[in-house]
Amino acid sequence: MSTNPQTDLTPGPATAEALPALHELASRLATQIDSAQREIGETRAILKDAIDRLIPAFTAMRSGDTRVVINPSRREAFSALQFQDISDQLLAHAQARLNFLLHEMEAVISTLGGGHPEPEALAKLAQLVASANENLADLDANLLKPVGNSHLAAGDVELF
Amino acid sequence: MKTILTVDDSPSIRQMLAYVLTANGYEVLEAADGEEGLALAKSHRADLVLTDQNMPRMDGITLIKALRGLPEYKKVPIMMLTTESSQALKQQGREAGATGWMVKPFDPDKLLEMLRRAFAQTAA
Repeated sequence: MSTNPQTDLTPGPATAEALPALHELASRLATQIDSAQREIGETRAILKDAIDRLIPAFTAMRSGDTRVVINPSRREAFSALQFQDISDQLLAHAQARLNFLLHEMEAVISTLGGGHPEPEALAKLAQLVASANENLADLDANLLKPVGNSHLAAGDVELF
Repeated sequence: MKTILTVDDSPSIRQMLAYVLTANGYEVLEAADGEEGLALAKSHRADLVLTDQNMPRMDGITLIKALRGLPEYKKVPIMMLTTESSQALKQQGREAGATGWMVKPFDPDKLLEMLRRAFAQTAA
C-alpha cells in the first residue's frame, strides 16, 4: 500500500535516529525547568518568612511599644534583612536556567525551520543536541546550590 | 583595635557586618569581591578575614588560597560567611586554609562569639 508523502507523518530513518537524543535533551531541559521552579518557590517562601518576622516589629513600632522592637526583634531583623542576598542568588540561578532554556529553544526552532526537516537540518540538530548537553553540564557545574537553609533560622557556625 | 576585612558582593551584607563589627570595637575594611579583597589585604594588614563564597571575579575559596600564599596571612584567621552549607564545599574550604565556616543568615551574637574564639585560637 503506497503512502502519500504529504500526509505520511512516519519519521524517516534519519529522524528516527535523532528522536532518542531529542527526547533525552527534552528530559534534561525539563529538569532545569523543575529546578528553576523550585528556586522561585524557595525564594517566595524565604520572602514570606522574612516579612512574617518583620511585621511584628513594624506593628510594635506603630503602636509605640519599643520594648518589642528593640530586643527580641533585633535578631529577627538581622536574619530577615539578609534575605535579599539569599533570594538574589536563588533568582539569579532561576534566571540563568530560563535564559539557557530560551537560548536552546531558539536554536532548535531556527534549526528545524518550517515543515519536514531536511537531512542536513537533522545533522545540525544532532550537533545542537550534543552542544546543548555540553552546555547543560557547564550550567550545572556553575550553579552551586545557593541556600543551605530552607528557612531563615540563623546559620550554623563551625571552627575548624 | 583589631581590623577585619569583610569580602562580600552584597552591599546589604557588608553594611550589616560593618554595623555589628564597628559597634563591637573592630575596624572594618570592605571589599565587594575576591579580587578587591586580595588587593585590600595586600595593601592593609587585616587581623581577620570574613569572606563570602559566591562572588564575581574571584570566589571565596580562591581568595583563601591566594591569602594563604602570602607570608603575612599564613596564620591570620579566615572565616567563610556564606549561604553554602554542603560538606563537600566546607571540606574544600578547610583544605584551602579556612579557619571556620558560618552559614547565612548570620546571627550577630554568634558571629561575634566565633570571632572571639578565632582570635583566641590564634593567640594560643
